[in-house]
Parts: sequence; structure tokens; C-alpha cells
Amino acid sequence: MSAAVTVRGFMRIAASAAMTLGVLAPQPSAAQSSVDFTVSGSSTVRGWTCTVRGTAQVSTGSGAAVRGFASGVSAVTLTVPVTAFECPEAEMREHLLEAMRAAEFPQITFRLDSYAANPQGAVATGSLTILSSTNPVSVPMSLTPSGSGVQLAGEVQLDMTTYGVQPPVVMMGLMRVRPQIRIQFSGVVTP
Amino acid sequence: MSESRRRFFKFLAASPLAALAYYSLPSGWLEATEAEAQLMTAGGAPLEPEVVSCANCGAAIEPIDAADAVSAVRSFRDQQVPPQMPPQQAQEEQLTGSLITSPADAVNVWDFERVAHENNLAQHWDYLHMGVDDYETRVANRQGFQHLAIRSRRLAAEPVTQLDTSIEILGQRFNAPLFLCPVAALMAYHTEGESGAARAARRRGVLQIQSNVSSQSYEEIAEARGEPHWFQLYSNPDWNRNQRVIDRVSAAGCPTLVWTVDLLGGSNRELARRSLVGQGTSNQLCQSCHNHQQGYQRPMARDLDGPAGERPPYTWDYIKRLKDASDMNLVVKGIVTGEDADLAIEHGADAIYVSNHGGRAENSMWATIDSLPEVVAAVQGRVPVLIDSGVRRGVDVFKALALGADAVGIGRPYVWGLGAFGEQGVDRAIELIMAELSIVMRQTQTRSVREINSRLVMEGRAPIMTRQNQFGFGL
Repeated sequence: MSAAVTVRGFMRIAASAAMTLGVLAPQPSAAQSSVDFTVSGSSTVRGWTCTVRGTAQVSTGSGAAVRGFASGVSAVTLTVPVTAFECPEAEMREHLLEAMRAAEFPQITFRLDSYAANPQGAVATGSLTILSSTNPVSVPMSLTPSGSGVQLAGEVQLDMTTYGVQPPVVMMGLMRVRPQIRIQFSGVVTP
Repeated sequence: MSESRRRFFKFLAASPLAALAYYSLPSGWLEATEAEAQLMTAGGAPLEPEVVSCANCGAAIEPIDAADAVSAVRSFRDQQVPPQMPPQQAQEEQLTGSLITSPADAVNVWDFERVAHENNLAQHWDYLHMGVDDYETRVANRQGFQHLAIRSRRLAAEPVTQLDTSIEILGQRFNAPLFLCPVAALMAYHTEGESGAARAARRRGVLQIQSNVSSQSYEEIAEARGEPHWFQLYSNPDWNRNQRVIDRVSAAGCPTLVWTVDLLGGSNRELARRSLVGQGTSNQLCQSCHNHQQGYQRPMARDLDGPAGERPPYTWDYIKRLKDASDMNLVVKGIVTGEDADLAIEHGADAIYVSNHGGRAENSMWATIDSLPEVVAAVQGRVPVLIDSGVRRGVDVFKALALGADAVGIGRPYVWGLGAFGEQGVDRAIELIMAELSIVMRQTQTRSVREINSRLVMEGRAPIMTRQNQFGFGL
């Protein structure tokens, strides 16, 4: 069996599973856009930053009007592919993927539950799933209508241990990553 | 104790409920009240309020048992909570309290210093923090700014509505008279390194000068910034190696070369020596980043091998040699006297950079802001003058501009921002200092950098403008 056949077979299974679950297939009214995430933290040696590009799936309508979305927003799902993380050093990336148990939990997801509009944008409240833990988070974000869509940007701070992520410890404890991280995101989503 | 005061405390002792009306009774009053209650208890008689005038206010004061009075007063005393003093608490918070967790929370650049200190390896921190000998030049750099006062102007013919902080220097325009000084090995403080600083500097429209001993290459940093920046050179005795690095940055579009002359004789950096004793960079942890194995070179020292060249002495003629080596502008960094400024220009310098290397060169105990006026006087407007060392506030920038600087550099403050939060920390550090500068500009009725002049600063009680020269320079 060739590799190509194997891949095609996998894709068929994945598509079938997605249609069955109704999760991965975009809703007709939903638009999918790219969102860039910057994850920063510190350690006992120096600060660090890794980046990753994820996707935002936004469904409009049937919600309170919010900047850039006159008819409101009915659903938002942000998805981050863990293996797509880029770090300044290969070894650092390895530690990150190991801590995130990337093979076991390949995605980080945020699903919107509710939002409160404000003049700058909104405070989005939803469920953030990292590894097998899901916790509620509130994320203030700015929404700026632009020619190509709505520019969204925001920041949230987390303690990674609350999601069961063990901060990397290197060299038998000589270097320890601190559990607090900042996640900044920005991107243009299409209403 | 006067009789009237005793009567008052006896009244309180007999009427604890009345005492409770005092939200924050002075501790001395409580002690006196308790003493009166004990005295009366010793007499064995029920306490009867002596103050009858209160009947005028309609208060009904019932006699109580003496022992109950003592107990009530003590109970009230024990419940007393020292009053909270918000201003002291705020100051305590700033100096020793919790660390900020977001760059937006920074109130001034020192907020970043504490976070960067917390986040960085002690040896890295020591390298950034150190001065020479007993740190007296570092201290002098700050004191120099602190000894200058602002001579504010309150009103103007036209209201100050919009500020123009832009400058033009050596053919380039920037949004602010601020620049990021060359600082070595920025990836020691954050993985974003010089590139993170470059992105922040570009966003804010300020100049950045890359250190010769940077963690990242000129090309990487220029790509992050989106345009070429300036490059600082530590000259190598082998001229050919200098020529190769000059050719490299020139080919990458670097418009200006900054030659450092303030360390040609070396420096006594004791903290660095103590900090690395027993550690070095040979241990496993350091090696994971430094990778100082056989053949290791910092990015800007790589690929410079080739035939050895002549070894010209470091004299004034070296300026002309560097100037002739490329089409780049040449800035001479580390000048602190008028004589040297004059000679540097005579030999071809396109700008003078007043610096004592942030107090890391010699222990001169002489602030750069104090040497700036004589340099400016000697330059006489022939070339731009840049300055750094000890700049922490927007008002420091203002003072340097007022004394004739064309651009003012920050070193440690932006590295604190980088070490604390990467690019966002640098961005916020620049924003804070520029916000402070804007306040001073509005307070002094100066609409543009061009309007900031020596009449707006004074030293002690003697205005600099009274000094014996046209612009009030010459301290």
C-alpha cells in the first residue's frame, strides 16, 4: 500500500467522522480566518516567546450587536494546532511540545459562551481547553472594522498548571519555566 | 494632667459607649481613659459621669460598674485597627510590592527593572546592572540629571495643542528624539533579543543602534525592523576584520556606523568577575545557550576570517580610516570633553555621541549630562550630538535636549522592558518615557523638539542661561 493511498484513506475517515460529529465541518454562515498567537513567559534564566498561527471560526447573527458585527455573533471557536508552535530554539520547542503532550492533545480550543460588548470591542467569556482540562476564561478584546474584515486583538494571562500542564524543568532543575504565561492574539476575521 | 483633661477621661471611662463614637481614638487617650477607670475601680464606687453639661445635648448617661468600665475600655482598645494610609501603602507597593504581570501595568521604567531582575539568571542580570569600581559613575549619571531643574513657562501666545517630537538626524527622520543604545547580547534577557527590540522601536518610530556583540545578526535584526538600523563597532586590532564587518553591514544597507572609543583602555568590571567566579560559561546550563564550543563566534564575528591586515594604532587618524572604509556616516561614541569633540569632527566624524558607557567605562564620577554642555559648545552646531547614560525619564530626555543634544539614548530601561516582557516591554518602556516627555513639553510650552532650549533648564539656583556663552552652555 502506497503512502498516498494511506493518506487518502485517512482523509476519507476523517471527513466521515467530522460529518458525523458535526464539529469540524464549518457551518454555512461561519467564516474561518487566521489568528496569530504569541505566547510569552519567563523562567529562571530569561524571558521567552513562542508563536503559532491558529484559526478562528466565527458565526454571525442572533446575538447582541458588537463592534464590527452589527447582527451579533452566535458562535466563535478558536483552534490552535499545538505542533505548529514556533520557538526561537529547536530545543525550546521540543520542551514545549513535550509539556503540551502534543501527540496526545494536538489542539487547544476556545469556544465562546457569551460576550459583553463595549466601545472598544467586547469581553468574551468562554471555555478554554488545554490538554484534557477545560476552564472558563474571560478575554477582553478589541474589535476594529477594517476593509478586509474585523481586526481582533486581545490578551489573556494564564497559569498553565491550572490546565494540568507541567512547566518544563531543564537540566535537573537548573532552569525552570514559570507557570504564568501571557497569550496575545491578533487577526482579521470576516463577518 | 490638667484637671479638665482628667474630667474628660473620667467621663470616657464612665461612658465607654461614648468613647466608641470616636472611630479612631488616639492611643494616648485610650491609655488615659483606662487609667482613670482603674483609679475609680480602686475606689470601689460606681462610676458616675461627672460631666453633666451633656444634659444640654439630651444624652442620657447611665452610671456603670467600675470593673465593667475597665473591661469595656480594654475591649475597645483591643479592637482598634491602625488606620490604613493609602499613600504609604502605594509607595510600599511600588518599591517592594507585587511585580507587575503585564507591560500595560507599568507606571515607570523601574517597574520593568524589578520584573527583569526576577526573570533573569543572576549572571545575566549582573552583566546588565554592573558599573565599574564602586559604581560612582553610574550614580553620577543619575545625579547629574537630578541636579538640573526645569524652568517652566506657563502660558504661550498660542495654546499647545499638538506636540511634534520628531527629529531628523543624519538624513533620517524619527518620531521621537529617543533611541535605543547598543547593548550586548540581548537574547540573554529574552529569546526575542534584538529583533524584539527592533520591532518595538520600529513601531514607535525610534532609532535603534545594534551592538557589535549582539545575539542576532545585523541581517536578522534589520528584517525584524523592516529597514536598516545603525551598527556599533568595537574595532579589532586587525584592520582587515574591521573592513569585513564594515563591508557586511554596509552591504545590508546600514546607513551609519558608530565607533565606540570609551573602552579602548579596558574597564574594571568587578561584579562581572565576581558573578562568574565558579560558574563561568562552561557549565551545562550556560552551555545550553552559549554553546561556546570550539570555533564559536557571535553572529557579527562570524565569517570574518581571511588574510590578516595591518594593525593601525587607535589615534585620531583612525576616524578618517573608518570614514574612508565605506559610504556610511560615522559617529564617534564615548566623547565627554569639548576638546575631543572638536578633534573628532576635524578628523571626519559625522556626529558626536556623548557617553560613558552607562557608567561601565572608567570610574570618572562625571555624568554625561554634565559633560554635554561643553561638548555642544565645542561642536558649535557642525554635527549632531547624541547622548546616553543615566536616562530613565522623559524629563531626562527633555534636559538633554535643552542642553543641546539632538537625540537621547536609553540602554538599561529598554533592556529591563525586554527582560520583563519581550517586545511588548520595550514598546511600553518607550511609550512611558515619551509620555513623560510630552508632559514636560506641555508644561514648558514647547510644541516641538526644536523649541526645547537651554532657557528651560537651570542648575541649582543659577540659570544656565546666565553662563558666559551664546546658548548658555559651558558648564
